[in-house]
Amino acid sequence: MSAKPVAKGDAIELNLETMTVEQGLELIEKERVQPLLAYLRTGKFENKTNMTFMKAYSVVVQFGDQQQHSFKLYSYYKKVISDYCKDAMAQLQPLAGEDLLNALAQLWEKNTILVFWMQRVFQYLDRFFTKSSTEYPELFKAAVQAFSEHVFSKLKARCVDAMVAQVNRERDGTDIDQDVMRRLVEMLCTVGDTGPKVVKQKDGADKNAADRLVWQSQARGVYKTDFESKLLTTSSEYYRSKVAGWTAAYSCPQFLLEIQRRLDDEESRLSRYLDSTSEKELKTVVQKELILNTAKGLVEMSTGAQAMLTNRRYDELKLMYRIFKREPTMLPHIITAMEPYIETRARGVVEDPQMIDSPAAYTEKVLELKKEVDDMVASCFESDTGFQKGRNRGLEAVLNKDTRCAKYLALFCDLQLKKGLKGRNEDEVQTLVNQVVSLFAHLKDKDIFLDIYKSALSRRLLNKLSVSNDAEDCFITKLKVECGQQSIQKLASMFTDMALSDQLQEEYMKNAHHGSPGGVVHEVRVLQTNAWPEKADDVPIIPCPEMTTCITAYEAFYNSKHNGRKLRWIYNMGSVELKCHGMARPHLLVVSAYQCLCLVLFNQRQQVSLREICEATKLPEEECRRQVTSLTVSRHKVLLHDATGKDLGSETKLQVNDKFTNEKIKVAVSLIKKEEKAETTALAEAPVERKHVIDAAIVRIMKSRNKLEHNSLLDEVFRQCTLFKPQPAQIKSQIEHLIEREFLKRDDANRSIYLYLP
Amino acid sequence: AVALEHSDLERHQVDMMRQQRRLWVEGRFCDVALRSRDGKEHRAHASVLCAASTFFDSLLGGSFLEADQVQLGQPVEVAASDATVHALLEYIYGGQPEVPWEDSIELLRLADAYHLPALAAAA
Repeated sequence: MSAKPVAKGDAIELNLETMTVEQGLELIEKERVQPLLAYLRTGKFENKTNMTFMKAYSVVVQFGDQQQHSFKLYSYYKKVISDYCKDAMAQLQPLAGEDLLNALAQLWEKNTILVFWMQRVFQYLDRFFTKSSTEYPELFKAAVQAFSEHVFSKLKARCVDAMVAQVNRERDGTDIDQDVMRRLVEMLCTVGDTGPKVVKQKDGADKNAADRLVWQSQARGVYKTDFESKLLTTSSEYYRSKVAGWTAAYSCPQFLLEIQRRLDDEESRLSRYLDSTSEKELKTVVQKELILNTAKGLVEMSTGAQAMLTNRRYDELKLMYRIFKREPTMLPHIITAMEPYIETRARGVVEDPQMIDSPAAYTEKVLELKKEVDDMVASCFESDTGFQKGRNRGLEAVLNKDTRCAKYLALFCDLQLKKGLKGRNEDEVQTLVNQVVSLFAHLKDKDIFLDIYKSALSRRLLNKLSVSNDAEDCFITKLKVECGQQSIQKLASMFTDMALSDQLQEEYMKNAHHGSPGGVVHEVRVLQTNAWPEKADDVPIIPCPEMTTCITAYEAFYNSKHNGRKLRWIYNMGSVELKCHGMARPHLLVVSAYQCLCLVLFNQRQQVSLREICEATKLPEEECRRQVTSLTVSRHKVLLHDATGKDLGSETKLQVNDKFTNEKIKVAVSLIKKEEKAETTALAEAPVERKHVIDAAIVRIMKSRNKLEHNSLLDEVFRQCTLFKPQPAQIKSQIEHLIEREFLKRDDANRSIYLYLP
Repeated sequence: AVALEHSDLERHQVDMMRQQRRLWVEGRFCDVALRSRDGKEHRAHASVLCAASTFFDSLLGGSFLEADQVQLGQPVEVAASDATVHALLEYIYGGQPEVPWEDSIELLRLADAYHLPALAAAA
């Protein structure tokens, strides 16, 4: 069988055996290259060739194995492309600007088609000839080199300038031919590349989409060096001059909108025709001009951040934030404007004279403001941590000037739990608790809040004033999260006491007397000594016989349950219902235990003097006068007196007002206010307690460390005191105090080091 | 997003090749016919041929007369004997063809021209 390859065609018979390389090339020239060049000139195949790819390829394979023939094939390949480029160049030479770009893009496209077809026919050369040679690059690369030599290198500067000018024209709003730009960018990425390649791709996902020839480059050719650098400097200049114009013409919001529009525009340009590798560099340059160089000025404009905050232009603030976020180092400019704004707003509430004496109104306003700024930080600034910190600084600077906020917040809680929350559903309670606790987190005097909260809580629990146990629980749980188990322990144990007392009371009612020894129904609360703020009476009060019966009965019951525990009775917290018969009609008087002791004296005598009351009950005179006077005021004139004016003297005689009447049968007698002493003692109390807290902290720290330097000790103490911010001077004096009491001593060698004395 | 990983990619590749071969042996989904010198037609899959060799990729890639022929369902001329074309396809589809001595030189030439270096080395 013969091994002679003979290709059969429809029209042309090839006999490769007898053909010379010149004949072969002539055939390719005539049958493939000429029709192709004609197609590129006219856009259609004039004389449709009958020569198949197979035949042309066979010719190349036939001669491609022999070095001297391969070179001829290679030279021919290069010549076809070079000649095509040279011819085209003659027409491009006189052109400039947009015309040049259009013509060049068109040439690039046609050259691509030519190279694609030629490479396919001659690709056998890449198998051996170009591979084993350092002198002759691969077919694609050789083609690009020809284009570069005859076209690109002669037009480079003109082309790049025209392209950059086109970009600027588009920035100014002119429509430009993006397809041309896309092709030229491809050209820049290909020319000078180390391994360019043409591939055929579908233009879209559709099956019927047109095929498109695209170049793939390895290192983006000369795009970066020759084009991108020029584009970057031009962009920088362009925006610098624009910004200068806008500064004079625009208000801050207009300016921001313009920046946003420009940034979007640049981004879309990257995806439309620039190479994606330019993204980082171009963004850096553009943002430098548009954001870095403008941010501070924008914030400080008269229509800037301050005005937006004051006029609550949240959309504009949001826009400003979103733009500045691209350059995060610029965000502090907004924060610097926001902080004093929040301070001013807070001062507006804190210094409002109308609310100085109204805890409820004050706290409501503060909570409202807190919610407003929280919402603002969330919606405008995406709850950015920097902004949250700024907000906290702003609020805390004003609210923590004195302890009023802590006190009023605690009082506000009391009011809410006594009245405000009545009839609210669970969600509303939750919302309020969350608001209160989030404000609480800002306070530096947390201990003062907790003190007042505690005494209010004890009053609510003992007098059953609380509207909802769930709400109470809710507060305690949230506070625990905020300041830790330890600080809340006492509050929590108050609830335990209440629950235990309820149980005890239930059992007590099951006794033979059914909880009413001597015919007096009574209820007892047993409280742990240290958990509650209540203090027992300083002086031994003498209870009336009826009370004594109850006390004896309960103590007997209690001792049968818990051996060895001693109950101390706190009369001043008790309240009594008295049935009164000697009046216009029978009344039930709800009075304090002290008042009860006073009133029962009138069971024996018609007239009693104040001094006699004091002697019989052992009440301190001051307190006794207050209790009795409360019974003589015009609102509840239970007792009549013979003093002139309102003030009772110690010899003033009192007697029951037998004409006393009230529309209700049950009358609650309210006590007149104690003199102002109470306020001041409460205030003084907290600092005393703080001393102990600091002492305890110092001792705890020194016990574990044994030896510590002064400043590190201060740091540790600051870290441990979470409920308030101790003053360094205060810590110092406590250290001195502890040295005096021989818990610590100074190191002999270094005076600033303390040693723990076990 | 979840990145799915092949638990056994190599096995999958081997199986895919085997199934391609089965389809070829059964003559299903073939869209190209190669006509050898003695006029016999050999059917095959364009996608497999293009994947096997850049020569076929160029040939069937759409810019030349042959692609039109394939579109019209006409066979493509291959200047080689029936046994050689069969051996070529057998090889591409993962078989181990036995080639008569007199055809082996032609096969070698074809493997070289058609960018199938592994076949050239095997032959």
